[in-house]
Amino acid sequence: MTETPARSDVPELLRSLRRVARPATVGAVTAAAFHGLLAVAVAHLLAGAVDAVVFRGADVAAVAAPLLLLAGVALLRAGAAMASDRFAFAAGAAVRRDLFAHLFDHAVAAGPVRLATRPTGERAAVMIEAVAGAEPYWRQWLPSAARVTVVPLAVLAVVAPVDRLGFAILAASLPLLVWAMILVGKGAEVAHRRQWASLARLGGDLLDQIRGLGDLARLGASGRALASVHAAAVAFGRETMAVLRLAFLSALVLEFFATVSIAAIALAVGFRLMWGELDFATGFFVLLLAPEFYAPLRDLGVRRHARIESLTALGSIAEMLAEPVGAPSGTRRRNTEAPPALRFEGVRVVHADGRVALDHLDLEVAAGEHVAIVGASGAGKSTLFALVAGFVEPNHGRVLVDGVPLDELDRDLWLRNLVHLPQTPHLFEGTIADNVAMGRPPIGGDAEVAFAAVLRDAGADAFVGRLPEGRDTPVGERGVGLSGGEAQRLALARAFWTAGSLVLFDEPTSHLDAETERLVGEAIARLGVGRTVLTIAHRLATVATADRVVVLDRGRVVEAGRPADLAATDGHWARMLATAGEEGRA
Amino acid sequence: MSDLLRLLRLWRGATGWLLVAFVVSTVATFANIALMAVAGWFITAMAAAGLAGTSLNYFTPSALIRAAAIVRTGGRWLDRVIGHEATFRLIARTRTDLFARLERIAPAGLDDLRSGEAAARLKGDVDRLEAVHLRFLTPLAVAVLTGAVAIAVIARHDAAIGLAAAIALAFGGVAVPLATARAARRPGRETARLSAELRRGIVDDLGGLATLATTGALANRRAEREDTFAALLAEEERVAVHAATGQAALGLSGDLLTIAVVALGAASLSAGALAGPDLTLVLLLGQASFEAFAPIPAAFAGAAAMFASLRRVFALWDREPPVVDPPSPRPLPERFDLSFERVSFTHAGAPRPTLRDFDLELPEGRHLVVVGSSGVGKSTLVDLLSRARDPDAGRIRLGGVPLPELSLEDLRSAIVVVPQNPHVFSATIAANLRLAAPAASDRDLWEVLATVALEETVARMPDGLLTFTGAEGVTLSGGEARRLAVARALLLHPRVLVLDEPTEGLDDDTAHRLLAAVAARMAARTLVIVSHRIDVRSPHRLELMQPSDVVRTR
Repeated sequence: MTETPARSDVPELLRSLRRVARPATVGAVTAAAFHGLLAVAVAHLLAGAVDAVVFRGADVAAVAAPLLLLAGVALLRAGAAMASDRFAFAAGAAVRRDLFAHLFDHAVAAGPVRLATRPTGERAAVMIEAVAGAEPYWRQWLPSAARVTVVPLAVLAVVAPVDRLGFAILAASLPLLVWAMILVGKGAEVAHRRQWASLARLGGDLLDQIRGLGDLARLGASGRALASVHAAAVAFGRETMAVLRLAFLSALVLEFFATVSIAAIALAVGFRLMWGELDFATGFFVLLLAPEFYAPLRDLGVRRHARIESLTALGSIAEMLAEPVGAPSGTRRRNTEAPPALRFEGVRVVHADGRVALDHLDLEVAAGEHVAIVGASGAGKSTLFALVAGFVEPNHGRVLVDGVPLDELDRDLWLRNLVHLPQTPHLFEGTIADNVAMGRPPIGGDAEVAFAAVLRDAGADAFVGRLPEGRDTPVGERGVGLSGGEAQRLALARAFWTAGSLVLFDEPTSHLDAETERLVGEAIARLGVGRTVLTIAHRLATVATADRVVVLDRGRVVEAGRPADLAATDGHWARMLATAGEEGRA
Repeated sequence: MSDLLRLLRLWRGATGWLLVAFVVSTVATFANIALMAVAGWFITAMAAAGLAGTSLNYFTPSALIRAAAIVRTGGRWLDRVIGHEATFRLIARTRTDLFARLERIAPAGLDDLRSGEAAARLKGDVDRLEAVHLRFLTPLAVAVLTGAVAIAVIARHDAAIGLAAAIALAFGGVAVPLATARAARRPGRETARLSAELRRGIVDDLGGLATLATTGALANRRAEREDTFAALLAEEERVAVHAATGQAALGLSGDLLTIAVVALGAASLSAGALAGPDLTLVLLLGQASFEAFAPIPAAFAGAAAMFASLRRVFALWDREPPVVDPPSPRPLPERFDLSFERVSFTHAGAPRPTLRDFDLELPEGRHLVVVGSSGVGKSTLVDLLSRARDPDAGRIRLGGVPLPELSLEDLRSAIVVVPQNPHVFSATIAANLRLAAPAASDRDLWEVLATVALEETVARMPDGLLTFTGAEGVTLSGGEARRLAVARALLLHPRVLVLDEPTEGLDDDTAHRLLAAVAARMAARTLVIVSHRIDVRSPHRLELMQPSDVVRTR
């Protein structure tokens, strides 16, 4: 289960992201504010021109200059709008690039074992959707906030000296508006968040029903689901509406003040014009500015969602970045290709959920030795592998490689000494050849020769030869499906390509046909020559060929020795042999 | 476009509400335009009256201004409430209808929708239908209507200015947004493609992280992802530039129209063809009518995605169920002996048959384990048994009756299948168990939980049987979910129980306990267990091999 995110991380994340996006943000905010200010210039020029035409009998030629100027300002305005958008996009993009890189590096630093706390799809969703979800804060909210801080004040400043009454109406409405905004904004933000959460839950309900549809059909229970889907769908609509009604209400309040003020200004201007207390150019100027005064406030109300959405997205990102990672890599370089000797000294590993995976484990593996590890699941076999690969760290005790503590070694270099063969090997999207070479140059230098050799060594030449495009056949998510045994042999070919000196082989528990089992066994034997090999063994034949068998039970070594010797005793291994004998398999 | 008409036909019952929303929206937009236009006319006329020293009936215009202000404020609010309310009701109905359609084709007809991503898409696509009314049809109709009326009113005052307004609105309000939306379509598609590529890449990287680390390929991979991400941002930027261009062009057209009105107005004014206050009226009328076009660029830009959603929804809607109920089903037979006679099945698009001329006799009460490596047709066998699909050739009989002659309801109450990846609903443990057996008592529930070795686990949960599971509660591991599904099936007391990979994700000890307990409970009833593990024991064992017409029994 995930812990509740430390909310304090979001402000910190936001601060660091603001720094990343600062130059572009400054551009976006400046252009947005400039765009807003140009409205004042437009109103001034337009009021003057109309005044000249209507009341001073000016013809087209007489107003040509202000109109041309107006056209220039219009172009400038369009330019400012586009520039603001470009800058805002750039700011958002800088933030997204930064977040993406951080999340990727974090995943790498955490390593495969720690990453297993969440499904991969969920992680990918955070790296794509949540990262994209952070954008609106920079793209929409900040430019909008910039306009709101600059434009109304600028309008007030230009209206004040020319029209006291107009200024008074606008100025009086401002605190009311701000008060209304704070009331329905700040106060409603809590309600908003809560309601968004309930919306997410209802959306989840619907997904739940859709995903479970197949199971319901198999149980003959789908009729009941329809009623609950209908209820969830109606509730979803109702709750969405409840959230929106709040937003509409805040818009209504804003709209009300804005409209009433505009009407009041129109009337106030009109009567003073008739009484001769005001000249037309000024009156018209103020009337034109009134909507501009309120437009940014209205816009900000619309953008409030953008901000909440982004902060929510940043919350899930901060939560992920707060997950634990491994200790930093050591610096000692292991400059040898000789097989390593391993030594575990009183190692204790406790998982995050409190389970003790390994406890006081003492084990020594000689250079070049082949050790089979057996034990029930949960005995700590996989943790032993993860420990050697540095994917988990011991809570107590230490692991030594050729007498050097593992945590002092340069991790990247050490990892390249390892050949990791999991139960179900991962095949990457790409061709067979890509999956074997993994971007590494071949040992001999000639790729053709090297491919033929490793495929033969891995017992994979025959099936690869039968594939439609041979080594260039795409595999993985979008390629042809390979059987478990074929994937296993492809992983072996990958291991032969530039093999490291320590093999960690997790033998498949799944059913393989006899032929495949033989081919995999022979390939492993070839790979083991001149290397240290640790095998998590499930098959009798595998254990029989090992130099030594180590029996793990609840995180400790309970028995170790030559397979034949142990079989002759009445210990753990002998008992396991006896049960297995009933079925002919281990 | 035909999809759009089809949707509207589907929504026929509610067209009244949609029309009301449209009318209210139009009235509010007119009120907004009237407010500015009348205000402009009013102050100009008042100024003229003041200068001339004459008086003016100011009651009518000032009342108009107040009325327009109230209608605009109230109208905008009402428009939003009605429009959204009507839309959400329609969407809820569409969602339920679609679900009812899907029920008919589940489970096998939904194979490609099993993943969460596809289900999410289904939800998202239906959600996006709200745009049809709220962001596409209504804004478009309101803008066109408002634009036409504004142009007509302007033209009545001055034909030349009317023409200018028509050109400006048609250019900035329709032509440019349409063109930019069209131009943005390709980068839009690229964005979707790259984003899918990025997701695949990340899933690939995270899944193979250990291999990448041990082969030193991480640095390259990281660079590849960053390249894809950069390409994605570049395409998104292209989309953004097009959208910004459309929006800027709209604003520019409005400004240019204003200039044209003053220039043309000056000429008409000196010719005496236009009164001063009317010039202001026409000027502000033109400006304000552009506001009605403000949502148009976004409407056009979002249209492609909306139509794509519409297409996907109807594609799902139109799927045919892979199996159908017989018109006059036969009653369930007395005995439940199962037999497969020369059964063949080829998956759609697969190069070779999964099952070919497959024969099997399974007398009632027999317990059978089917083993074999992945992909040899074990799960297909399971699907055929519960008629998730029908074989291409051959016959499967239950007590001598061919399966297609039984009603699906009867069949699925007799043969209960627990799939490989069962779904645990976001509900209590008890509700999950009672899904198909609503009358089961708590004692029944504890009993089946004990059988599947989940008794202790559930007892340890905070609220026992009433503990919430799934996304909103306690997360069950894959193994626990599978066992819960087995318990759910046992509650139905099936005479034939089929378990697809029940021991996956279980440690050996639990696996053996589970199988022994289930076997004991199913004594004298038929039990079929499908597994790819090498250590599943059973007196009767069927080994499927590839090609799967080779069968070895023991």
